[in-house]
Amino acid sequence: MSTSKHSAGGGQLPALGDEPVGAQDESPGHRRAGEPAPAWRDLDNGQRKILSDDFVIWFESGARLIFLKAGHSICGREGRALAGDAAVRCYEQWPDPRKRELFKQSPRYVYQTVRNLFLDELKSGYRRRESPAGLPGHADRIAEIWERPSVGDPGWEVRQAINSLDPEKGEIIFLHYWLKLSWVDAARLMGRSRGQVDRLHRSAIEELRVLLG
Amino acid sequence: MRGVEVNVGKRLLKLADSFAEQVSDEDVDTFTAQVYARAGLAAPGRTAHTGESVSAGSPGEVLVKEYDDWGGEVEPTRR
Repeated sequence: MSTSKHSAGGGQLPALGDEPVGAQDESPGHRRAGEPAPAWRDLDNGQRKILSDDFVIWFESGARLIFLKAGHSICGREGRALAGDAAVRCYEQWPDPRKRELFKQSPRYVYQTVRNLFLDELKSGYRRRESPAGLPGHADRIAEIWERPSVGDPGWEVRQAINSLDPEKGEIIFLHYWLKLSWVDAARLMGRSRGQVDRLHRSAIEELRVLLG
Repeated sequence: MRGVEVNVGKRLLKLADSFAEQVSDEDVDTFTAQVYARAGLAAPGRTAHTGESVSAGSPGEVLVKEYDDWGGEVEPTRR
């Protein structure tokens, strides 16, 4: 994947945050418990420029399509707004070398970020409906998308079924069908053996068959 | 079982392939511009804004949103 080409932690990226005394042997992405994650506001202008350029290179070298495809797999045409929200959330976390590395290592983190955002907004939309004082917003739109009949979107039922799978099964479906990754590549990205991924896929397909009737 | 896999697999492939019909290069560019605008990234090579969503806490401090590894929000920290 092109996302692994621009790995973090290279010499050109700034060292973020003060390294704790005696922690020289720890990898740059590891923080001590309670230590705040590096954030944009902690950086000087030079560091911000390097990191924002780094994000742009990663985003334009393939990540933006992964965000869009993740949004599409989860809620179709409406997934674009969701993908945008997730991309901005990713950018907010970019100064944290550990999270930056996770995003660059595998598209599964992008998928899970988009999926979690969708599920959060779905819950939030339902909660708001229970509160008469709540104002309608994006979360309510997500709840509507989830509930609407399949007439306007023939893939609605399939998406709903995929979103009902557990996160790893949803991931394998996304990696193989939307990103067209081979089973070998999907297994590598998920840190699983080829056989484990095969079993995970079979189990996901069986669940989808039951859900889709 | 094999036939079932093929049937469900075909539905998944058809749905995944509809992405290319529904999202054009222009849509990708528009999406990119929208993300950059929201993130405060005017264009590649320009200095970014803080990139954080912050809200006011007590006087003299702000609450900084933080996320877990999977993008879920965790308790904001006070800075």
